[in-house]
Amino acid sequence: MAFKKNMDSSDKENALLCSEAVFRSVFDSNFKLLRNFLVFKFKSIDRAEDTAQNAFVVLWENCGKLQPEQAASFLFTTAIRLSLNLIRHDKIVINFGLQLKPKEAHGETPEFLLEESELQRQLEKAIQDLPEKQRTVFLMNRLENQSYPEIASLLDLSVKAVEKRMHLALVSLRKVIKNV
Amino acid sequence: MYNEIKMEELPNDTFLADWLAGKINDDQLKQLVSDTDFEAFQTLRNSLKKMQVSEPDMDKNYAAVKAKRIAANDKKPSGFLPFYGYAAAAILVLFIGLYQTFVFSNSIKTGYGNLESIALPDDSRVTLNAKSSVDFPNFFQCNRTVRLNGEAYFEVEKGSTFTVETPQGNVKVLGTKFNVISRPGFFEVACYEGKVKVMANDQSVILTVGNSIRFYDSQSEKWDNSADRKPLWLDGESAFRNVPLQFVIAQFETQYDREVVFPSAYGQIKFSGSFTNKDENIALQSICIPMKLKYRKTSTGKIVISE
Repeated sequence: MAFKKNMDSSDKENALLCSEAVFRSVFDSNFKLLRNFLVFKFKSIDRAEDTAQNAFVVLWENCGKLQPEQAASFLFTTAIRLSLNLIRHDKIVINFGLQLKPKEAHGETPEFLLEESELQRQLEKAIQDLPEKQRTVFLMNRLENQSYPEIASLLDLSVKAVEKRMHLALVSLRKVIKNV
Repeated sequence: MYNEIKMEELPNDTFLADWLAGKINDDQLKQLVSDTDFEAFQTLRNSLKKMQVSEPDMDKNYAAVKAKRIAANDKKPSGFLPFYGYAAAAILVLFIGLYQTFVFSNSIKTGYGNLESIALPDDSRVTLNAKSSVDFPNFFQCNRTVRLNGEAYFEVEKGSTFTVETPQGNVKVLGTKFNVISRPGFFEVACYEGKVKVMANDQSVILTVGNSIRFYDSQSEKWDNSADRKPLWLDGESAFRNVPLQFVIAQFETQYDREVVFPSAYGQIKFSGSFTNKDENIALQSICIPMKLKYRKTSTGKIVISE
């Protein structure tokens, strides 16, 4: 990650994270992933961004105690801790925010496009209905291109647990295709 | 045909995860699942490739983090005052709570010859005999304790321990009916239902239905009152069993607001019987005739009892 490269030159120095420039680079390299993880978790963009911002505030408050390379797992741990209270408040889906990528394959027949959008709709619904643990892991891998070991270290899981969740998520989603 | 059972029979299997990660290739997956399944998984994988989450606005979010940082920072220096402020407020609330719980801010009094029946906040009933008072705290449910001076009959609802404090001793119950008399030098508890625990003179006695106990002159006396279903005074009759005459006359005084003079030698003589609380002359006769005493009223309204 970007900040890691920056760090190599001045590795031992403490409280580096407390400098605005380093903090910003940590933000740039971690915010999107953290926020998207929380989107998958909460199924709400507003709440995900709010919680992710709060996690960065906690990171800033602890900047003197942490090395920049510890930031990512600290942020995830903090965000999960912060979200424990939130989740109990309500479990209503507000805005999941999954969308199709803008790049469109032209030259498809309208019928195909219609079928495909129907499939996407059903798939999104099925993803929303997945258990939270499967959904977060599955989308971190599929949508955020995080490898299983990367997910395992961010979420403090074993790689085997990540693999099981991936497998089970795909088994669940398979049932959607059956009906199309 | 898609074989659901096969995959769920092997919960430890993660071959789909392996396939997604490229650890096994399409051909290897085809060995493990049916052709329909394989096609379905491929469709899934392709559909997912076309999905994404909307992009966050990085600058806006960074600005939000900065604003929250500043807000959190601002709290800290001035944070000490609010902290002490909160602490002070919390202590104040605590003291008010304790005060309301433990200070006996409600008081009910009866005058000469009056009875009063009140319902406590927990629906327990207290009937006060003449010239008696009862005090209880505001948060009665948290602390079921009443202070009694005089005589009262209690019908206690079930619940936490219900305590009657008197200068002579305490009575603790859970839910029952009982009568307490607390007059200077005289303490009597009669139990009409359930069980009560009486603590007085450094001793603790448990009374069951039909038991009564009294303490006076540093002695105690226990007897059976199972014939009575509730104190007679509730029906306007003061009843005594083996009670020194001085306490009987004191009771007469509280009912009729009269000063009674009697030969002190008679003070300790035991009286058994009752008098009405409704007619003074009949009451005086009820006391004096069995004791072979005479009474007269003076011009100042005193009553003088003599041989």
